[in-house]
Amino acid sequence: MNDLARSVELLLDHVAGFQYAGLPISAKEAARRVFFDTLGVIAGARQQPIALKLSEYLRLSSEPGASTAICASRRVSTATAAFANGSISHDLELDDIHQGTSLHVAAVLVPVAVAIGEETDAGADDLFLALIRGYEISCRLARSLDHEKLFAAGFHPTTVCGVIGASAVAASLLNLSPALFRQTVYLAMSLSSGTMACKSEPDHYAKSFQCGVAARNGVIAAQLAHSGIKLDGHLCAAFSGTAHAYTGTSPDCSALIADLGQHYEITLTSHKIYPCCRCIHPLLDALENIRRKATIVPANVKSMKLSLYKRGAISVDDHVLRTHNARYAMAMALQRGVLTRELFTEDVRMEEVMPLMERIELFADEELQKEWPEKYPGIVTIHSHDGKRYTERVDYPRGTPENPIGTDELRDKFLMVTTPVIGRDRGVEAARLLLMRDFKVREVTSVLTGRSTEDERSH
Amino acid sequence: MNGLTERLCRSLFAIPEQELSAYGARLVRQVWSRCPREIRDDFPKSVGTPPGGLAASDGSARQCPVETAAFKNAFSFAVAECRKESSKEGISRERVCSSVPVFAATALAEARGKNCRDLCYAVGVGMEAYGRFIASLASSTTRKGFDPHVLAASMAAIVACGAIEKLPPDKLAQAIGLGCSSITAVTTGYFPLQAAMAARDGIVMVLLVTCAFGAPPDALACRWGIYETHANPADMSALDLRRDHKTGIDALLDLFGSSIEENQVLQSWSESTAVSGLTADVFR
Repeated sequence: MNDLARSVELLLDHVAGFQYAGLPISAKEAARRVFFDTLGVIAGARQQPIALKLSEYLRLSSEPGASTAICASRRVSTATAAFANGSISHDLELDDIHQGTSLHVAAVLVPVAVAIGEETDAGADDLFLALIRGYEISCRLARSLDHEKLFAAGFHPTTVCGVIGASAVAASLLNLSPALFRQTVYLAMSLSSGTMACKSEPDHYAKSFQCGVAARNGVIAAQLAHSGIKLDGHLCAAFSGTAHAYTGTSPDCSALIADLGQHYEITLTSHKIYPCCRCIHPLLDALENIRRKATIVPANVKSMKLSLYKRGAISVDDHVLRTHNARYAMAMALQRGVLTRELFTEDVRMEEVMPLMERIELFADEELQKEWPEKYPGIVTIHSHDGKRYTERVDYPRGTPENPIGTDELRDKFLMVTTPVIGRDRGVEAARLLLMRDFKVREVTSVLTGRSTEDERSH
Repeated sequence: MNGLTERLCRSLFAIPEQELSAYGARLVRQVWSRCPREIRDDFPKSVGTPPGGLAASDGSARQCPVETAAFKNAFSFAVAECRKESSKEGISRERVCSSVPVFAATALAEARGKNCRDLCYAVGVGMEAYGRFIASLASSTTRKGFDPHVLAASMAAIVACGAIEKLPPDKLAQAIGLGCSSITAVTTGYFPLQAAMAARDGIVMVLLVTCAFGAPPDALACRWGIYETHANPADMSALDLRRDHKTGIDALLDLFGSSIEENQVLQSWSESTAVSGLTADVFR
């Protein structure tokens, strides 16, 4: 057995083998926060254009089933529900991100957990165990393939690696044996997809949609394994082939198993508080810090200099997606105070912000780059027309593991995104359920979609 | 200036229908006459979908939703073909991939109440796209670790379904744009599953676009488009955008030959036969 085969075996044996009771509290609590945060983001996206279009699609073609497509408040098959919910989970750009791999893992895995969790009537412990398993698979695979190489080759690491983790979530909730867990992952290796061409589309549809495809494919892989489809080849060859196709190199075996059982990937989750690319967050925090100390009137800003670690600056420099355009986001933050998803849509005319954007410059800072990825540093310097200078530096944006937000703040975010869509009362009730020691997925989706308990019983 | 993707779609739709329909009719006949027994025998029963969705037939001759029908039929056919032809791997891959637009278009045509004329044209234009993609992709895609047949079949299924839905070229280009985001074609993957997903997603992408779902405007040639990520370097001239007559399907081999188990019903169909009548007879 070669190194890769040994590493793959070790990883899968470990992940399929650990049980909820034996996991550290930090991992369990991280899973609860991930599930809570992502479900809020999904429910909050229900009235976004993408959700309305998906709802129309489900009207044209959907299979009846036990799982809820939250965008349409209707029950469909598990695969379709995972697809629909996965396709809106990333739309608000408020879903969390995995520190160290930049994967939006939750956007892919949580929709799977909801879809299969409803089918199997899963409780909190089952869900959290499944998510922890999914994170271990997706994130370790991303480290092994090197997510930076994936980006450079034009592939979307979130979906290429996410589908494998999604299949692990599904297998876990279906309570598949270790052998079938392995078959599920093997089948899912056939179903990876996703390119960065989505970044050429200003409306953000394709970027969100890819998460839905990865979630759906993960479910399908688990269902096929469950039904008895058995592959005779070597899983190791599939890993190797995936690495070759997406990065042109061999996978890093050691990354698959580093600190296995000592460290859980889900604990490296960053929760987002601004609806835009995470690379912009240190700059937004720095601006917020400046505004706490002084009143900054947009008309009085002569220039604003943004310095960002180089890797981040490249990602958000004059991007066609407004959510990924640092100058646009900073101009909006300065002009409007609070950033909402609507401010990043075509509804806002560029002429409104252009005069301010023209006074903002973004610099890729080589010195700051040296501190990345241990830190995510950004510096904002404002010069005013009356000769004053304000500057702030942020190394760890709020929401990162190093600068976490508390459960109260997470709850505030949940209510902020869900209240306009489902009303405050239902938002509060959903948050209450999700923060309880135990809950059933079906109870939560009922509250989020407004289905009555009677409907649930009759179902 | 329209992008490469839209120009390709325009050139495909400019080909006279009769030039494509004859090929489409032959392929539909060949594929369907080979598959009923395999579909019935091979598909695992536990993956079944509850009846009562849209009008498309699956392997057990039940009514089931349109994407599921395409997926199940294509999957079963692929498993059966690969088993039959295990000693001729290359041929079985091409046969299976040729069947992908047939299963996708049949399911959608059935659900939409189309007739065999619509189906044959759709399959013909899908295979024209298939032929052009194969010519432009082949060696570089294989070198990168992706299967050019699966990639081309994914495109062919979208084009065929777009023809069933009568999408205009710009909308078909969007459907291809979405399809490029979801192609599953790693060579070391499980080939029958990838082929089945290509059939399923041909329908999904087209239906999403009919619901005004957005997509990258030129997913073939844009930054990180399919030619950059999956086929670098590629021979884009093989897409043959200048012509308004078929070139892609002329280059394809006759993979099924003439020794097919012709089903009596399939021999008697006509252009006006409803696709639902065709599939009902196949499964009788």
